[in-house]
Amino acid sequence: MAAVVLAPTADRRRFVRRVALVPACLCVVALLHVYRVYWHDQTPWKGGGFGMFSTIDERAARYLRCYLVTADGEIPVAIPSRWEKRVTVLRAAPNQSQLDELAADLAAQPWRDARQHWEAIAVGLAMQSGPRPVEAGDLHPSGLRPEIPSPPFGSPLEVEPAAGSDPAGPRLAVQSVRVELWRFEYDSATRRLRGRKSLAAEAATQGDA
Amino acid sequence: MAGIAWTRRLRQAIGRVPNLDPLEVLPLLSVMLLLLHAPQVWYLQFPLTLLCVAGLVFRPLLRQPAVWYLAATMVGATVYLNWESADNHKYMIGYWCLMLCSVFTLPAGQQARALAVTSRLLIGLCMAWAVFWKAINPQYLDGSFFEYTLLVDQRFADFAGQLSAISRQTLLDNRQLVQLLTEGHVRGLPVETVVLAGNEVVRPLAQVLTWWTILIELVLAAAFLWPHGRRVAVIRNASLLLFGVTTYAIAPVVGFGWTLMLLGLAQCEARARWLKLAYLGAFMLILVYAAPFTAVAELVLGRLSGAGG
Repeated sequence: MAAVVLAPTADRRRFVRRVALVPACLCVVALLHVYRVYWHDQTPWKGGGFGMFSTIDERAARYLRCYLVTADGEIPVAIPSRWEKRVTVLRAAPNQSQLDELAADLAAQPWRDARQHWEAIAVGLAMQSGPRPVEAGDLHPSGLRPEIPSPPFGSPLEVEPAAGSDPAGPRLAVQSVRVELWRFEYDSATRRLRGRKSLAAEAATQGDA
Repeated sequence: MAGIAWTRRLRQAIGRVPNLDPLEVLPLLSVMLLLLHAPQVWYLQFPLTLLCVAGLVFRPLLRQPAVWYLAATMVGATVYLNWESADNHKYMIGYWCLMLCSVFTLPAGQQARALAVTSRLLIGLCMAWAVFWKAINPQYLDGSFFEYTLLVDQRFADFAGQLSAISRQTLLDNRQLVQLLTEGHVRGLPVETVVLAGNEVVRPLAQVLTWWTILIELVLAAAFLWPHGRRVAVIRNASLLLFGVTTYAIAPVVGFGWTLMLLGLAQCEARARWLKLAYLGAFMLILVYAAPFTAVAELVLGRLSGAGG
């Protein structure tokens, strides 16, 4: 490297400032990440502290379980993809208040069983006299089955959020929504991955259940 | 006599190698890095692509601090807004852009030295932090982390399959077990414990990876944060090239590998023309590593055996 002669005053100071700027930014972000890992349970993998490939406790090892609580039991459901970012944030840095908020938003969401929805459409079409083309109105057979019974506990249903534009469609009678945050740990001696619940939140629905 | 002739030929060959100017080459390679490995979100991709294309069409733009300031701001803001999913190399890409901005604000005579010093600090600090996290984590130090990773992480599947003789199907089963643990409740299977399949080779292999990784990162951190010296420079370059060539062969994280090789190239001695080419070669090699050779070979062999049967 050819030697660069710097004037002893302003030039040198400017050079040092320019050279130190980016390493200083890196250290500030990394220190902030250390703080977030120890005080906010953030995964060392995410946050700019270069903790990748150092621990099993990555975002994938933290996962959410969501249950619709009905009079007949609990129905496990996948959290809809529109909340994906919030779920990802929760998995990267679990937080009780954000979990409460997510549970409340999921409780405000109407739910339906997709199979029952299509079943209702099929029944509606079967009741028509003779074959005819299916119209948009046939997709909302609310008048046929106003009361959808809650499914038995543990049955793998095709439960999904009901469309907001279909307020009278078949709904599940949900009393509350419970969201749990789990994380798994690896035991090298037995090669077991063991999940444990670390946070939970429950929110009641607004009353049309 | 033959030895003298060979030495002369070698010197002539070295003389013919172009002496790359990092300040010319690096901005161009940075454009490639930004286009292929910047965070993939719609609000960043359009303006960043526009900026990169402008830089490629009007080359002098690539030496303007404002251009790199814009790129650093865009990448930095995107990383900030998506911190929960941003990998560490996205941060490094942001630092890289900010470094180019910072360097190009200096007089021309100081730019190369500023680039080299900052690059060394960035590599050294990045490695020092990586060692810190590994050193404080008991599950890393006892080999559990790499054992789990070899059994489950798809990025390590080829390596694990070849060195530990675990079948591809077993590794796939392990990934499905993890999926069952995390998502099974939706299908009516609220599982709390699963047992991964493995064999007796995985644990020693994990121990080798554990200590190799921490050792090479420690050497890199020490060498790059050590004050300048000719012997240290040899260790720096040898260890960084070794790290690039070995690490990314196992886990092809192209974005991080490229950023490290660019930083390596940026801190080279001005006269080290072969070394600069070696970094460029490693840059390309990391891209080659990411090619799905095993999958292609299996596909071709499968077709051939299918045709033969």
